[in-house]
Amino acid sequence: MSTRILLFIFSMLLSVAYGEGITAQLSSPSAEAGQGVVLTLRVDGSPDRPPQLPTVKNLIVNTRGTSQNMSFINGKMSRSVAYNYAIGSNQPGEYLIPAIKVKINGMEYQTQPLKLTVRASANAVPQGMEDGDDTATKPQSDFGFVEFQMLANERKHIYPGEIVPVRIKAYFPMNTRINLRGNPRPDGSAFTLHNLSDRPQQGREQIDGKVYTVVTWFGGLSATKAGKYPANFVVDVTAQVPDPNAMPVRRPRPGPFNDPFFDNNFADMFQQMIEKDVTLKCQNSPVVEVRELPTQGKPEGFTGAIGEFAFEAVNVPRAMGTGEPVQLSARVKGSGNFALLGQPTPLPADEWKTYAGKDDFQPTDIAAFSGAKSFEFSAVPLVPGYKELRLGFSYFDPNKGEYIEVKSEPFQVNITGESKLHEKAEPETKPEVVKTPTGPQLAPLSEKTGPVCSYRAITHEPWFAPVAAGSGLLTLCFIAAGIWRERREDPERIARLEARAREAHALHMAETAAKQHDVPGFFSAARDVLRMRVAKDAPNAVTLDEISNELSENARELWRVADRIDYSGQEAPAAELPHWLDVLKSELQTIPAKGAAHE
Amino acid sequence: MNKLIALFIGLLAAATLAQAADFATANADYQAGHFAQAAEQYQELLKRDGPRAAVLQNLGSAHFQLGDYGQAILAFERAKLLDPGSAAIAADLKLVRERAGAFHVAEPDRWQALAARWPAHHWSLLLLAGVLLLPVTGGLWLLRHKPAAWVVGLCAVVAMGTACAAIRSLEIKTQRAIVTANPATLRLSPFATAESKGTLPAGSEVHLGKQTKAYHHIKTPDATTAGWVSEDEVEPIVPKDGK
Repeated sequence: MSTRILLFIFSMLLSVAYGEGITAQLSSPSAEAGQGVVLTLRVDGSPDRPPQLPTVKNLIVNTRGTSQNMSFINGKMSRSVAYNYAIGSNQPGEYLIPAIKVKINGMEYQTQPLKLTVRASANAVPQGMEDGDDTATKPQSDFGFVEFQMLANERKHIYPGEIVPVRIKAYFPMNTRINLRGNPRPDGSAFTLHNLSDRPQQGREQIDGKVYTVVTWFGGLSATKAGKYPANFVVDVTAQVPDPNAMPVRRPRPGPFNDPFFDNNFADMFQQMIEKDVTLKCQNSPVVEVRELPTQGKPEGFTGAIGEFAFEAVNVPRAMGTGEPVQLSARVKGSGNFALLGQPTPLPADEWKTYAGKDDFQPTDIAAFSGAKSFEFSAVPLVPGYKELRLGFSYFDPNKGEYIEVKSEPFQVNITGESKLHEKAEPETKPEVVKTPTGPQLAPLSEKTGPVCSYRAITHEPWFAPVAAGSGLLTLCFIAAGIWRERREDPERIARLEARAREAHALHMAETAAKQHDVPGFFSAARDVLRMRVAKDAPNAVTLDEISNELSENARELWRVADRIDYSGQEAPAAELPHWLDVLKSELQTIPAKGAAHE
Repeated sequence: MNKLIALFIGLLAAATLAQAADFATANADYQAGHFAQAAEQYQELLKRDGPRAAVLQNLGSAHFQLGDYGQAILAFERAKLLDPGSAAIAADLKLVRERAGAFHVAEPDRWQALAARWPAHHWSLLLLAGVLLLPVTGGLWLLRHKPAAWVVGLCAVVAMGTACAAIRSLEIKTQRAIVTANPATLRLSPFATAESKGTLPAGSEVHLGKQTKAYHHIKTPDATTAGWVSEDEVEPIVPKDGK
C-alpha cells in the first residue's frame, strides 16, 4: 500500500516537472521557387500522436525526421521533441501555414500561423516535371497509387517510334508494408516502356496531411501505331495488412512516465498480418495522340530515327583505292530513339558500296534517352579522283515536324584506280529465288561427295587414350627387358660372381677343416680365401709380400703360419683353429672384394 | 560364309550408291535454282552421314545464292577445316566474305598457317603413327638393333611432337564462331531483356567465351567489341557434336 502511494506521488511529480508547450518556427521567411526552408515544430512534453501538418495548395512538405532533448535542471527533468519538415514550392507567391494542432496528455495545443514567401527563380524545374504540379490525386486504395508525367514540351502529340521520357512515381502510405512485385508497365498494348531505370529513387512526400513513401522511375515511352490512346501505368505490389480475423494485440498499460517513447512500441510486431496482391493504377490517364510520320519529304535513306541528332566525330582514311574496302567510323550524339538510327552513308551514295558494320550505343542519362552511338563499317569506293567525302544520315525532328538530313564536315580524300561503277552490287536485300543459277563467280559445285571426315582429331576418340597408354607401357617393357638382359650377359659381372663363388667355397673348406681339426687343410684354405679376396688377377700366384699392405697384422700372421706349415713342415696347435677362423672372418669383413679374372 | 560376305558387300554398295544419288539430286535442285531445297538436302546428308568437305562446299554455295551470307561463311569455314588445301573452297570463302563485308578475320600466325595445311584429323593420324612406332623402338632395342632403334625412336618422337603442337594450334579454332543472324544483338547481360549495346552483321567472325544458359559471351578478333549474344545468333565453326 505504501509502495503504491509513493509511485503515484512520484509520477505526479514527474508530470509536473514536464514543461508543456508547442512552438513552430521557419528557418527563413522566404525562399526561391524550387528551394525549401526548414519548419521546426517543437513540442515540450510527449504528444499523444505525431503532429499532422495542414495541407496548403502548391506547398510541398517533406518530413526531415525528429529529434528529442531531455535535461535535468535543479533536479527537475524536462523533455522536448522537435519535428522537422522541409517546406517549399515551385510556384511563386505568399503561403500561409495555418496553426498546427498537437494533443499533449489529452489537451490540445496549437501554434501561431506562419507565413512563407516564395520568390520567382531562374532555375525552376521544367514545366510538367515539378513535384508541386503533380495532380496529387486522392489515393484510389489504401495501399497507394501511381502517377506519371510525360515530358513533351508544348507538343501534345507524339509519333510512332518516338521515345518520350517519362517519370513514374508510386506512392505508398507510410504505415503499410509494401513489396514491389515488378517494375511499372504500361496498361494496354498501345504503348511500350523502354530503358526503365534499374534503381528507382526513393523519398517521402506529404499529401493531404498523409506521409507517403515515393518510389520514382525514369524511362522512355513509345507508341506503336497512330491514333489516340489513354496512357496509363500499373505497378504490382504485395501489401501486408492486419488480419481482420485475428485477435487484437493487448497493448501494455502506459508506464509511469506516460510517454509513448518509453512505452512498448514492439506490440505492432506481434500483430498478425496477411499478404494481399494489389495492382496500383493511375487515377487519371491522359489521352495521348499518336500521329503518323509525314510522307512528304521523307529522305530515301530514312531508317526511322526520331529525335535530334548530330555528328560528333567522323574518321575516314585520306587515301584509298577503288574496289578496295576501307574502314569508316562515325559517332553521332543527340537524343531520341537511337535504336532506329542507322549507320551513316558516304556521299554521294552511288559512288560507294557499303556493308553493314557494328554499332555501339552509350547513354548519358538514366532513361537512355540521350547519348552517343558509334558506328564502324566497311565501304568500297567505286569512282577514283581527288574529291570531298562526307558522311550523311537523316532523322525526323518531332518538334519541328520535319525530316532533317545531316551531313558531316567534308574530308579531302584521294581515290586511285579505275572506275568500278559497273561492279556496284545489288541492294543488300535477300535476292529472289530465280529459275537459273546466278553464281558464276562461285566455284563449280562438287560432283562427288568425298569421304566422311571429322572436325576433331582422333585424340578425342575414347579408344585413343588406352591405345596410347598401352603402346607406351609396351615400349617401357621392351626397354626394361633389354636392359635386364644386357646386365645378365655382362662378362665382368659374370667373372665377379664366379670369384665370389670360389671364395665362398674356400671359406667353407676352411670352416670344415677347422671343425675336423685339420690344421694344414685349414691354413691352406684360409690362405686361398685371402688370395681370392685381395688379388685381382691369378690369385694362386700371389705372395704375401705383394699384398701385405692390404692385410692386417693378424691376417699376415695367418698367412705366415700357413706358409710355415706348407714349406717348413711346422705344425700349429689345433686348439687355435677357432681363433684363426675368427681372424679370417673378421678380415673378410674389412677387406673389400676385388674383381678376379677367371683362371 | 561367302554368302554373308557377298551380302555385306552388296549392302555397302547399295548404301554408297544411295548417298551418291541423294547428293546428285541436291546438285540438280541447285542447278535448277531451287537453292532452299538444295540446302535442305545438303543439311540432311550431313546429318545422316557426317561432315564431308564437298557437301559443305555445295551447302555454302546454296546459302550464298539465298543471300544468307552468315550461313554461307559458316559452311565454307567448315569445309575449309576438312579440306584446307582446296583452292575452290578458299576462293568461295573469300568471295562470300567480300559480299558480306566481313573483311576482318583473325590473321593466323606462321605456325597456325602451317598447321592449317592439314586437317586436325590427319595430324592426329600422324600422332597415332608416332605412338605405334614407340613399341617398335622398344622391340628393336630388345633385339639388339640399337642404331635402328634410335632412328625409329627419334622419328616417333618428332612425329608425336609435331602432331601434338599442330593439333593444339588447331584446337584454338574450336573457339571461333560465325554470326549467323542479320544482325546479331550484343547485350550487356545474358538475358533477353538486358540492354542492347550494339550489333554485329552476319558473317562476322567472333571468339566464343563463356556460355550461360542460352547466351554466349563473345569477342571480336580485334578485341574491341565484347558482349553476350543469343546462341541462336551465332554458331561455332566446329560444331559441338562434331557433326
